Amino acid sequence: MRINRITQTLLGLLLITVASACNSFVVENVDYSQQLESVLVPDENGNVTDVRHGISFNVNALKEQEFGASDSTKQIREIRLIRNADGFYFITANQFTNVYVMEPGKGSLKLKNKIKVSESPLEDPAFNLRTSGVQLVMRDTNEVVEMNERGILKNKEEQS
Amino acid sequence: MKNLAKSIGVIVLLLCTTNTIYAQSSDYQITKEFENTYRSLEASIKNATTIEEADSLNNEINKLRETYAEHQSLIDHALYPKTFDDSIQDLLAESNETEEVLLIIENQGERLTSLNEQIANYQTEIAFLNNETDSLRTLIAKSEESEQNLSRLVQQYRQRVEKRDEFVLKMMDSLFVAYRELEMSPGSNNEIASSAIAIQQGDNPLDFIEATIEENIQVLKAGSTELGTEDYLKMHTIQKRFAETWNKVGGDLSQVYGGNESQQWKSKIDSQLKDWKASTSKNMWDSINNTLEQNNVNIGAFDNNQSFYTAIESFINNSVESSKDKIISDKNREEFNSFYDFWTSKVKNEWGNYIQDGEVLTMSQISTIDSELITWKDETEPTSYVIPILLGLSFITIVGLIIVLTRKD
Repeated sequence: MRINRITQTLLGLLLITVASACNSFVVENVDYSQQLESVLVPDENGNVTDVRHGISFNVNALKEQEFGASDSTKQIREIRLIRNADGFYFITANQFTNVYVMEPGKGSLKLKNKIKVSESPLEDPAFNLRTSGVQLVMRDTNEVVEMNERGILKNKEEQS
Repeated sequence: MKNLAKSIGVIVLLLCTTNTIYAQSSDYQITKEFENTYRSLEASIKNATTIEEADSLNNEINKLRETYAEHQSLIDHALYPKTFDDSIQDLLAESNETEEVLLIIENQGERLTSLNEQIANYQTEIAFLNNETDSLRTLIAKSEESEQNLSRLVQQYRQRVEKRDEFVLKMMDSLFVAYRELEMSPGSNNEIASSAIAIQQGDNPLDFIEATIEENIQVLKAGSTELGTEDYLKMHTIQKRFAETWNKVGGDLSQVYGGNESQQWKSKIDSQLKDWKASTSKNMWDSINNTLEQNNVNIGAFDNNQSFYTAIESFINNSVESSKDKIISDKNREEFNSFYDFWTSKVKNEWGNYIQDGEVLTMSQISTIDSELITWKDETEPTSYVIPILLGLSFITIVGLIIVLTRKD
Protein backbone atom coordinates (compact mmCIF):
# COMPACT_ATOMS: atom_id res chain seq x y z
CA MET A 1 0.00 0.00 0.00
CA ARG A 2 1.32 3.34 -0.91
CA ILE A 3 1.02 6.18 1.57
CA ASN A 4 0.28 9.47 -0.08
CA ARG A 5 2.13 12.70 0.55
CA ILE A 6 -0.63 14.28 2.64
CA THR A 7 -0.73 11.34 5.00
CA GLN A 8 3.03 11.47 5.37
CA THR A 9 2.89 15.15 6.21
CA LEU A 10 0.16 14.58 8.78
CA LEU A 11 2.09 11.79 10.48
CA GLY A 12 5.19 13.98 10.56
CA LEU A 13 3.24 16.80 12.17
CA LEU A 14 1.80 14.38 14.74
CA LEU A 15 5.25 13.15 15.70
CA ILE A 16 6.56 16.71 16.00
CA THR A 17 3.61 17.63 18.21
CA VAL A 18 4.16 14.65 20.51
CA ALA A 19 7.90 15.38 20.71
CA SER A 20 7.21 19.02 21.45
CA ALA A 21 4.81 18.03 24.17
CA CYS A 22 7.52 15.86 25.79
CA ASN A 23 10.22 18.60 25.64
CA SER A 24 8.04 21.23 27.27
CA PHE A 25 7.68 19.26 30.53
CA VAL A 26 8.43 21.80 33.28
CA VAL A 27 8.44 21.70 37.10
CA GLU A 28 7.16 24.98 38.35
CA ASN A 29 7.92 27.00 41.53
CA VAL A 30 11.50 25.87 41.94
CA ASP A 31 13.33 27.70 44.71
CA TYR A 32 17.04 27.89 44.02
CA SER A 33 17.72 30.04 47.03
CA GLN A 34 20.79 29.46 49.11
CA GLN A 35 20.14 30.34 52.74
CA LEU A 36 23.74 31.17 53.52
CA GLU A 37 26.31 32.80 51.34
CA SER A 38 29.33 30.73 50.32
CA VAL A 39 32.70 32.19 51.12
CA LEU A 40 35.27 30.56 48.85
CA VAL A 41 39.04 30.97 48.78
CA PRO A 42 40.56 30.77 45.29
CA ASP A 43 43.52 28.48 44.73
CA GLU A 44 46.71 29.64 42.99
CA ASN A 45 44.96 29.40 39.59
CA GLY A 46 41.90 31.32 40.75
CA ASN A 47 39.61 28.27 40.92
CA VAL A 48 36.93 28.06 43.61
CA THR A 49 34.69 25.13 44.47
CA ASP A 50 31.53 25.08 46.55
CA VAL A 51 31.11 21.39 47.25
CA ARG A 52 27.91 21.75 49.19
CA HIS A 53 26.09 23.71 46.46
CA GLY A 54 27.80 21.97 43.59
CA ILE A 55 29.47 24.78 41.70
CA SER A 56 33.02 25.36 40.59
CA PHE A 57 34.45 28.19 38.50
CA ASN A 58 37.45 30.41 37.98
CA VAL A 59 37.44 33.90 39.48
CA ASN A 60 40.00 35.38 37.09
CA ALA A 61 37.29 36.49 34.64
CA LEU A 62 35.49 38.34 37.46
CA LYS A 63 38.80 39.84 38.57
CA GLU A 64 39.47 41.12 35.06
CA GLN A 65 35.94 42.41 34.85
CA GLU A 66 36.25 44.30 38.16
CA PHE A 67 39.82 45.57 38.05
CA GLY A 68 40.64 45.41 34.35
CA ALA A 69 43.05 43.03 32.63
CA SER A 70 46.04 45.29 33.19
CA ASP A 71 45.80 45.55 36.98
CA SER A 72 47.61 42.57 38.46
CA THR A 73 48.11 44.17 41.87
CA LYS A 74 44.61 43.40 43.12
CA GLN A 75 44.08 40.00 44.65
CA ILE A 76 40.84 38.25 45.57
CA ARG A 77 41.31 36.94 49.13
CA GLU A 78 37.92 35.25 49.22
CA ILE A 79 34.93 35.42 46.97
CA ARG A 80 31.37 35.53 48.30
CA LEU A 81 28.38 34.27 46.42
CA ILE A 82 24.75 33.63 47.16
CA ARG A 83 21.90 32.38 44.97
CA ASN A 84 18.40 33.78 45.08
CA ALA A 85 15.14 31.92 44.62
CA ASP A 86 15.18 32.50 40.83
CA GLY A 87 18.58 30.88 40.56
CA PHE A 88 20.73 33.94 39.91
CA TYR A 89 24.16 34.03 41.53
CA PHE A 90 25.19 37.25 43.30
CA ILE A 91 28.96 37.46 43.47
CA THR A 92 31.28 39.99 45.07
CA ALA A 93 34.60 40.12 46.90
CA ASN A 94 36.77 42.43 48.96
CA GLN A 95 38.07 45.41 47.01
CA PHE A 96 35.09 45.13 44.60
CA THR A 97 32.72 48.04 44.12
CA ASN A 98 30.13 45.95 42.22
CA VAL A 99 27.97 42.95 42.77
CA TYR A 100 27.82 40.66 39.74
CA VAL A 101 24.50 38.98 39.07
CA MET A 102 25.24 35.85 37.04
CA GLU A 103 22.81 33.57 35.30
CA PRO A 104 23.85 29.93 35.13
CA GLY A 105 24.07 28.55 31.59
CA LYS A 106 25.34 25.38 30.03
CA GLY A 107 28.84 25.19 31.60
CA SER A 108 28.89 28.93 32.08
CA LEU A 109 27.84 31.87 34.21
CA LYS A 110 26.48 34.63 32.11
CA LEU A 111 26.44 38.21 33.40
CA LYS A 112 22.87 39.25 34.02
CA ASN A 113 23.57 42.49 35.82
CA LYS A 114 26.46 44.45 37.30
CA ILE A 115 25.22 46.42 40.32
CA LYS A 116 27.34 49.25 41.59
CA VAL A 117 27.07 49.16 45.37
CA SER A 118 29.82 51.47 46.54
CA GLU A 119 32.09 54.21 45.34
CA SER A 120 34.93 52.92 47.42
CA PRO A 121 36.20 49.34 47.39
CA LEU A 122 34.34 47.05 49.77
CA GLU A 123 36.39 46.07 52.81
CA ASP A 124 34.28 43.38 54.36
CA PRO A 125 31.19 42.55 52.33
CA ALA A 126 28.68 39.78 53.14
CA PHE A 127 25.44 38.50 51.61
CA ASN A 128 22.27 37.60 53.45
CA LEU A 129 19.20 36.10 51.85
CA ARG A 130 15.93 37.62 52.86
CA THR A 131 12.43 37.05 51.55
CA SER A 132 12.52 40.46 49.89
CA GLY A 133 15.78 39.77 48.12
CA VAL A 134 19.52 39.58 48.59
CA GLN A 135 21.13 41.83 51.17
CA LEU A 136 24.66 43.07 50.83
CA VAL A 137 26.03 43.96 54.25
CA MET A 138 28.98 46.29 54.24
CA ARG A 139 30.23 45.63 57.73
CA ASP A 140 32.92 48.28 57.65
CA THR A 141 30.31 50.98 57.21
CA ASN A 142 27.34 49.12 58.72
CA GLU A 143 25.46 49.75 55.46
CA VAL A 144 22.99 47.28 54.00
CA VAL A 145 21.94 47.23 50.34
CA GLU A 146 19.00 45.08 49.28
CA MET A 147 18.83 43.95 45.68
CA ASN A 148 17.52 41.46 43.17
CA GLU A 149 18.82 40.42 39.75
CA ARG A 150 17.52 43.62 38.26
CA GLY A 151 19.26 45.99 40.67
CA ILE A 152 19.19 47.71 44.07
CA LEU A 153 15.85 47.65 45.85
CA LYS A 154 16.63 49.88 48.78
CA ASN A 155 19.53 51.14 50.75
CA LYS A 156 19.32 51.37 54.51
CA GLU A 157 21.47 51.75 57.64
CA GLU A 158 21.64 48.51 59.53
CA GLN A 159 19.74 48.92 62.74
CA SER A 160 20.95 46.75 65.49
CA MET B 1 43.97 27.76 87.28
CA LYS B 2 44.67 27.01 83.63
CA ASN B 3 41.22 25.53 83.21
CA LEU B 4 39.59 28.47 84.92
CA ALA B 5 41.33 30.74 82.43
CA LYS B 6 39.94 28.62 79.59
CA SER B 7 36.42 28.85 80.96
CA ILE B 8 36.74 32.60 81.30
CA GLY B 9 37.99 32.66 77.70
CA VAL B 10 34.87 30.84 76.52
CA ILE B 11 32.62 33.25 78.41
CA VAL B 12 34.43 36.24 76.91
CA LEU B 13 34.18 34.70 73.44
CA LEU B 14 30.47 34.17 73.94
CA LEU B 15 29.96 37.78 75.04
CA CYS B 16 32.00 39.15 72.15
CA THR B 17 30.10 36.91 69.73
CA THR B 18 26.77 38.15 71.00
CA ASN B 19 27.89 41.72 70.47
CA THR B 20 29.24 41.04 66.98
CA ILE B 21 26.04 39.36 65.90
CA TYR B 22 24.07 42.51 66.52
CA ALA B 23 26.77 44.79 65.14
CA GLN B 24 27.23 43.15 61.76
CA SER B 25 24.22 41.04 60.95
CA SER B 26 26.01 38.77 58.52
CA ASP B 27 24.28 35.39 58.52
CA TYR B 28 27.50 33.71 57.51
CA GLN B 29 29.32 35.47 60.32
CA ILE B 30 26.66 34.38 62.82
CA THR B 31 26.99 30.75 61.84
CA LYS B 32 30.77 30.92 61.86
CA GLU B 33 30.80 32.50 65.30
CA PHE B 34 28.37 29.89 66.55
CA GLU B 35 30.66 27.19 65.18
CA ASN B 36 33.73 28.80 66.75
CA THR B 37 32.05 29.10 70.15
CA TYR B 38 30.78 25.56 69.80
CA ARG B 39 34.27 24.22 69.03
CA SER B 40 35.75 26.24 71.86
CA LEU B 41 33.19 24.83 74.31
CA GLU B 42 33.81 21.35 72.96
CA ALA B 43 37.55 21.74 73.57
CA SER B 44 36.90 23.10 77.06
CA ILE B 45 34.68 20.11 77.85
CA LYS B 46 37.41 17.76 76.69
CA ASN B 47 40.00 19.55 78.79
CA ALA B 48 37.85 20.02 81.90
CA THR B 49 39.54 18.65 85.00
CA THR B 50 37.11 19.50 87.78
CA ILE B 51 33.40 18.96 88.35
CA GLU B 52 32.95 22.68 89.01
CA GLU B 53 34.46 23.46 85.63
CA ALA B 54 32.15 20.96 83.89
CA ASP B 55 29.20 22.52 85.73
CA SER B 56 30.18 25.98 84.59
CA LEU B 57 30.49 24.71 80.99
CA ASN B 58 26.96 23.33 81.21
CA ASN B 59 25.80 26.84 81.97
CA GLU B 60 27.78 28.16 79.02
CA ILE B 61 26.12 25.67 76.70
CA ASN B 62 22.69 26.76 77.88
CA LYS B 63 23.71 30.36 77.33
CA LEU B 64 24.89 29.47 73.81
CA ARG B 65 21.53 27.89 73.09
CA GLU B 66 19.69 30.94 74.34
CA THR B 67 21.94 33.31 72.37
CA TYR B 68 21.62 31.54 69.05
CA ALA B 69 18.03 30.27 69.39
CA GLU B 70 16.74 33.06 67.12
CA HIS B 71 19.16 31.96 64.38
CA GLN B 72 18.20 28.32 64.68
CA SER B 73 17.06 27.87 61.04
CA LEU B 74 20.17 29.62 59.80
CA ILE B 75 22.39 27.42 61.90
CA ASP B 76 20.39 24.35 60.93
CA HIS B 77 21.23 25.21 57.33
CA ALA B 78 24.88 25.83 58.10
CA LEU B 79 25.25 22.62 60.08
CA TYR B 80 23.31 20.42 57.66
CA PRO B 81 22.86 17.42 57.98
CA LYS B 82 23.07 18.17 61.71
CA THR B 83 20.77 20.67 63.37
CA PHE B 84 21.17 23.38 65.97
CA ASP B 85 19.27 21.30 68.56
CA ASP B 86 21.32 18.20 67.77
CA SER B 87 24.54 20.15 68.22
CA ILE B 88 23.46 21.63 71.56
CA GLN B 89 22.25 18.22 72.78
CA ASP B 90 25.55 16.64 71.74
CA LEU B 91 27.45 19.31 73.57
CA LEU B 92 25.34 18.87 76.70
CA ALA B 93 25.77 15.09 76.50
CA GLU B 94 29.53 15.51 76.17
CA SER B 95 29.54 17.89 79.10
CA ASN B 96 27.45 15.53 81.28
CA GLU B 97 29.64 12.61 80.31
CA THR B 98 32.73 14.59 81.22
CA GLU B 99 31.11 15.57 84.51
CA GLU B 100 30.35 11.93 85.29
CA VAL B 101 33.87 10.89 84.36
CA LEU B 102 35.26 13.67 86.52
CA LEU B 103 33.01 12.57 89.36
CA ILE B 104 34.33 9.04 89.00
CA ILE B 105 37.89 10.36 88.79
CA GLU B 106 37.33 12.49 91.88
CA ASN B 107 35.95 9.48 93.76
CA GLN B 108 38.80 7.37 92.47
CA GLY B 109 41.14 10.14 93.53
CA GLU B 110 39.72 10.02 97.04
CA ARG B 111 40.04 6.27 97.06
CA LEU B 112 43.55 6.58 95.66
CA THR B 113 44.44 9.02 98.41
CA SER B 114 43.03 6.65 100.98
CA LEU B 115 44.90 3.75 99.39
CA ASN B 116 48.09 5.81 99.30
CA GLU B 117 47.65 6.52 102.97
CA GLN B 118 47.13 2.84 103.60
CA ILE B 119 50.22 2.01 101.56
CA ALA B 120 52.19 4.60 103.51
CA ASN B 121 50.98 2.99 106.75
CA TYR B 122 51.92 -0.44 105.48
CA GLN B 123 55.31 0.83 104.41
CA THR B 124 55.87 2.27 107.88
CA GLU B 125 54.77 -0.99 109.41
CA ILE B 126 56.99 -2.97 107.05
CA ALA B 127 59.92 -0.69 107.89
CA PHE B 128 59.19 -1.21 111.58
CA LEU B 129 58.93 -4.98 111.10
CA ASN B 130 62.13 -4.96 109.05
CA ASN B 131 63.88 -3.15 111.87
CA GLU B 132 62.49 -5.61 114.33
CA THR B 133 63.56 -8.51 112.09
CA ASP B 134 67.04 -7.04 111.88
CA SER B 135 67.16 -6.70 115.65
CA LEU B 136 65.91 -10.24 116.07
CA ARG B 137 68.41 -11.47 113.51
CA THR B 138 71.17 -9.74 115.43
CA LEU B 139 69.88 -11.26 118.65
CA ILE B 140 69.70 -14.70 117.03
CA ALA B 141 73.23 -14.27 115.71
CA LYS B 142 74.39 -13.26 119.17
CA SER B 143 72.44 -16.08 120.71
CA GLU B 144 73.92 -18.57 118.25
CA GLU B 145 77.33 -17.19 119.00
CA SER B 146 76.78 -17.47 122.72
CA GLU B 147 75.32 -20.96 122.21
CA GLN B 148 78.47 -21.93 120.35
CA ASN B 149 80.59 -20.42 123.10
CA LEU B 150 78.61 -22.30 125.70
CA SER B 151 79.02 -25.50 123.72
CA ARG B 152 82.74 -24.94 123.53
CA LEU B 153 82.88 -24.20 127.24
CA VAL B 154 80.97 -27.35 128.07
CA GLN B 155 83.27 -29.36 125.88
CA GLN B 156 86.30 -27.82 127.58
CA TYR B 157 84.66 -28.31 130.91
CA ARG B 158 84.12 -31.98 130.17
CA GLN B 159 87.78 -32.37 129.30
CA ARG B 160 88.99 -30.45 132.28
CA VAL B 161 86.49 -31.26 134.97
CA GLU B 162 87.56 -34.77 135.69
CA LYS B 163 91.28 -33.98 135.66
CA ARG B 164 90.89 -30.97 137.83
CA ASP B 165 88.46 -32.48 140.28
CA GLU B 166 90.69 -35.51 140.56
CA PHE B 167 93.61 -33.19 141.10
CA VAL B 168 91.79 -31.27 143.82
CA LEU B 169 90.73 -34.50 145.48
CA LYS B 170 94.29 -35.80 145.34
CA MET B 171 95.58 -32.50 146.61
CA MET B 172 93.16 -32.62 149.51
CA ASP B 173 94.18 -36.21 150.28
CA SER B 174 97.90 -35.46 150.08
CA LEU B 175 97.58 -32.32 152.17
CA PHE B 176 95.69 -34.28 154.74
CA VAL B 177 98.31 -37.07 154.71
CA ALA B 178 101.13 -34.55 154.99
CA TYR B 179 99.37 -32.86 157.84
CA ARG B 180 98.89 -36.17 159.67
CA GLU B 181 102.56 -37.03 159.18
CA LEU B 182 103.59 -33.69 160.53
CA GLU B 183 101.26 -34.05 163.44
CA MET B 184 102.70 -37.45 164.37
CA SER B 185 106.41 -36.41 164.22
CA PRO B 186 108.13 -34.92 167.33
CA GLY B 187 108.14 -31.13 167.64
CA SER B 188 105.51 -31.06 165.05
CA ASN B 189 103.50 -28.13 166.34
CA ASN B 190 106.09 -25.58 165.26
CA GLU B 191 106.64 -27.34 161.94
CA ILE B 192 102.93 -27.48 161.21
CA ALA B 193 102.66 -23.83 161.91
CA SER B 194 105.68 -22.98 159.77
CA SER B 195 104.48 -25.24 156.92
CA ALA B 196 101.06 -23.69 157.05
CA ILE B 197 102.59 -20.24 156.91
CA ALA B 198 104.78 -21.36 154.00
CA ILE B 199 101.74 -22.64 152.11
CA GLN B 200 99.75 -19.57 152.94
CA GLN B 201 102.43 -17.44 151.40
CA GLY B 202 101.97 -19.41 148.18
CA ASP B 203 98.64 -20.59 146.70
CA ASN B 204 95.99 -21.40 149.26
CA PRO B 205 94.39 -24.84 148.45
CA LEU B 206 91.13 -23.60 150.01
CA ASP B 207 90.95 -21.09 147.19
CA PHE B 208 91.28 -23.93 144.66
CA ILE B 209 88.57 -25.91 146.42
CA GLU B 210 86.24 -22.95 146.56
CA ALA B 211 86.86 -22.06 142.90
CA THR B 212 86.31 -25.66 141.78
CA ILE B 213 83.00 -25.96 143.62
CA GLU B 214 81.87 -22.55 142.39
CA GLU B 215 82.64 -23.39 138.79
CA ASN B 216 80.70 -26.65 139.06
CA ILE B 217 77.71 -24.80 140.51
CA GLN B 218 77.82 -22.21 137.72
CA VAL B 219 77.92 -24.85 135.00
CA LEU B 220 74.99 -26.67 136.56
CA LYS B 221 72.96 -23.51 136.97
CA ALA B 222 73.59 -22.53 133.33
CA GLY B 223 71.72 -25.75 132.47
CA SER B 224 73.24 -26.28 129.05
CA THR B 225 71.41 -28.62 126.67
CA GLU B 226 74.79 -30.03 125.74
CA LEU B 227 75.00 -31.85 129.04
CA GLY B 228 73.32 -35.25 129.14
CA THR B 229 72.27 -37.62 131.91
CA GLU B 230 75.65 -39.31 131.78
CA ASP B 231 77.36 -35.97 132.45
CA TYR B 232 75.10 -35.25 135.40
CA LEU B 233 75.68 -38.74 136.82
CA LYS B 234 79.42 -38.19 136.46
CA MET B 235 79.12 -34.83 138.24
CA HIS B 236 77.01 -36.40 140.94
CA THR B 237 79.71 -39.03 141.53
CA ILE B 238 82.45 -36.41 141.67
CA GLN B 239 80.42 -34.21 143.97
CA LYS B 240 79.82 -37.18 146.25
CA ARG B 241 83.51 -38.03 146.40
CA PHE B 242 84.37 -34.40 146.91
CA ALA B 243 81.93 -34.12 149.80
CA GLU B 244 83.21 -37.33 151.37
CA THR B 245 86.83 -36.16 151.18
CA TRP B 246 85.92 -32.75 152.52
CA ASN B 247 84.03 -34.30 155.39
CA LYS B 248 87.21 -36.21 156.23
CA VAL B 249 89.79 -33.46 155.89
CA GLY B 250 87.83 -30.26 155.59
CA GLY B 251 88.08 -29.32 159.24
CA ASP B 252 91.82 -29.89 159.39
CA LEU B 253 92.48 -28.17 156.04
CA SER B 254 90.49 -25.15 157.17
CA GLN B 255 92.51 -24.96 160.35
CA VAL B 256 95.86 -25.30 158.59
CA TYR B 257 95.17 -23.08 155.55
CA GLY B 258 92.40 -20.91 156.81
CA GLY B 259 94.52 -19.25 159.46
CA ASN B 260 92.42 -16.97 161.59
CA GLU B 261 89.43 -17.48 159.30
CA SER B 262 89.43 -21.25 159.47
CA GLN B 263 85.87 -21.41 160.74
CA GLN B 264 84.61 -19.08 158.07
CA TRP B 265 86.37 -21.12 155.37
CA LYS B 266 84.85 -24.32 156.71
CA SER B 267 81.35 -22.88 156.79
CA LYS B 268 81.74 -21.33 153.38
CA ILE B 269 82.88 -24.53 151.69
CA ASP B 270 80.26 -26.57 153.59
CA SER B 271 77.58 -24.25 152.28
CA GLN B 272 78.99 -24.37 148.74
CA LEU B 273 79.01 -28.17 148.86
CA LYS B 274 75.34 -28.13 149.84
CA ASP B 275 74.56 -25.91 146.85
CA TRP B 276 76.59 -28.10 144.57
CA LYS B 277 74.83 -31.21 145.82
CA ALA B 278 71.40 -29.66 145.40
CA SER B 279 72.16 -28.44 141.87
CA THR B 280 73.71 -31.74 140.82
CA SER B 281 70.79 -33.73 142.22
CA LYS B 282 68.17 -31.55 140.61
CA ASN B 283 69.83 -31.66 137.18
CA MET B 284 70.54 -35.37 137.40
CA TRP B 285 67.00 -36.40 138.40
CA ASP B 286 65.45 -34.05 135.85
CA SER B 287 67.66 -35.47 133.15
CA ILE B 288 66.82 -39.09 134.11
CA ASN B 289 63.13 -38.17 134.08
CA ASN B 290 63.49 -36.66 130.59
CA THR B 291 65.21 -39.80 129.33
CA LEU B 292 62.35 -41.89 130.72
CA GLU B 293 59.82 -39.66 129.00
CA GLN B 294 61.72 -39.96 125.72
CA ASN B 295 61.50 -43.75 126.13
CA ASN B 296 57.74 -43.45 126.80
CA VAL B 297 58.14 -44.77 130.34
CA ASN B 298 56.23 -43.12 133.14
CA ILE B 299 57.33 -44.41 136.52
CA GLY B 300 56.00 -41.47 138.53
CA ALA B 301 57.77 -38.74 140.48
CA PHE B 302 61.23 -39.11 142.08
CA ASP B 303 63.92 -36.74 143.30
CA ASN B 304 66.37 -38.85 145.27
CA ASN B 305 67.96 -42.30 145.31
CA GLN B 306 65.30 -43.88 147.47
CA SER B 307 62.31 -42.40 145.68
CA PHE B 308 63.87 -43.36 142.33
CA TYR B 309 64.23 -46.98 143.43
CA THR B 310 60.74 -47.01 144.98
CA ALA B 311 59.22 -45.53 141.81
CA ILE B 312 60.87 -48.20 139.62
CA GLU B 313 59.80 -51.00 141.93
CA SER B 314 56.22 -49.76 142.17
CA PHE B 315 56.05 -49.32 138.43
CA ILE B 316 57.24 -52.91 137.80
CA ASN B 317 55.02 -54.41 140.53
CA ASN B 318 51.95 -52.56 139.29
CA SER B 319 52.65 -53.65 135.73
CA VAL B 320 53.11 -57.27 136.85
CA GLU B 321 49.90 -57.15 138.90
CA SER B 322 47.91 -55.69 136.03
CA SER B 323 49.25 -58.38 133.65
CA LYS B 324 48.44 -61.33 135.90
CA ASP B 325 45.63 -63.66 134.74
CA LYS B 326 44.87 -61.40 131.83
CA ILE B 327 45.23 -61.70 128.13
CA ILE B 328 48.41 -59.85 127.30
CA SER B 329 47.84 -56.94 125.00
CA ASP B 330 50.29 -55.28 122.64
CA LYS B 331 50.22 -52.26 124.91
CA ASN B 332 51.45 -54.32 127.91
CA ARG B 333 54.23 -55.78 125.83
CA GLU B 334 55.20 -52.38 124.48
CA GLU B 335 55.32 -50.97 128.02
CA PHE B 336 57.57 -53.77 129.13
CA ASN B 337 59.82 -53.40 126.10
CA SER B 338 60.17 -49.65 126.63
CA PHE B 339 61.16 -50.03 130.26
CA TYR B 340 63.39 -53.01 129.51
CA ASP B 341 65.24 -50.96 126.87
CA PHE B 342 65.65 -48.07 129.30
CA TRP B 343 66.88 -50.34 132.06
CA THR B 344 69.34 -52.39 130.06
CA SER B 345 70.67 -49.93 127.47
CA LYS B 346 70.64 -46.76 129.57
CA VAL B 347 70.78 -47.59 133.28
CA LYS B 348 72.98 -50.68 133.12
CA ASN B 349 75.11 -50.17 130.02
CA GLU B 350 75.58 -46.42 129.50
CA TRP B 351 75.26 -45.16 133.06
CA GLY B 352 76.19 -48.38 134.94
CA ASN B 353 79.52 -47.20 136.39
CA TYR B 354 78.18 -43.83 137.58
CA ILE B 355 75.00 -45.38 138.96
CA GLN B 356 77.16 -47.61 141.15
CA ASP B 357 79.91 -45.10 141.97
CA GLY B 358 77.43 -42.37 142.77
CA GLU B 359 75.25 -44.87 144.63
CA VAL B 360 72.21 -43.78 142.68
CA LEU B 361 71.16 -47.39 142.96
CA THR B 362 72.96 -50.03 145.03
CA MET B 363 73.97 -53.41 143.60
CA SER B 364 71.32 -55.07 145.68
CA GLN B 365 68.63 -52.70 144.34
CA ILE B 366 69.78 -53.35 140.77
CA SER B 367 69.59 -57.15 141.35
CA THR B 368 66.10 -56.85 142.84
CA ILE B 369 64.90 -54.85 139.85
CA ASP B 370 66.50 -57.39 137.48
CA SER B 371 64.65 -60.29 139.12
CA GLU B 372 61.38 -58.38 139.14
CA LEU B 373 61.89 -57.65 135.48
CA ILE B 374 62.19 -61.38 134.78
CA THR B 375 58.82 -61.94 136.51
CA TRP B 376 57.29 -59.13 134.52
CA LYS B 377 58.73 -60.55 131.32
CA ASP B 378 57.14 -63.94 132.08
CA GLU B 379 53.81 -62.26 132.62
CA THR B 380 54.01 -60.53 129.29
CA GLU B 381 54.93 -63.71 127.36
CA PRO B 382 51.96 -65.13 125.43
CA THR B 383 50.53 -68.18 127.33
CA SER B 384 50.86 -71.52 125.53
CA TYR B 385 47.78 -73.85 125.72
CA VAL B 386 49.51 -76.84 124.07
CA ILE B 387 50.58 -78.59 127.31
CA PRO B 388 47.19 -78.31 129.07
CA ILE B 389 45.51 -79.65 125.92
CA LEU B 390 47.95 -82.57 125.68
CA LEU B 391 47.43 -83.36 129.34
CA GLY B 392 43.68 -83.28 128.89
CA LEU B 393 43.86 -85.62 125.89
CA SER B 394 46.13 -88.04 127.84
CA PHE B 395 43.69 -88.03 130.74
CA ILE B 396 40.72 -88.81 128.48
CA THR B 397 42.69 -91.64 126.76
CA ILE B 398 43.64 -93.22 130.11
CA VAL B 399 40.07 -93.03 131.39
CA GLY B 400 38.87 -94.55 128.10
CA LEU B 401 41.36 -97.42 128.35
CA ILE B 402 40.38 -98.15 131.95
CA ILE B 403 36.71 -98.33 130.97
CA VAL B 404 37.47 -100.63 128.00
CA LEU B 405 39.65 -102.93 130.13
CA THR B 406 37.07 -103.05 132.93
CA ARG B 407 34.34 -104.09 130.48
CA LYS B 408 36.53 -106.82 129.00
CA ASP B 409 37.07 -108.32 132.41
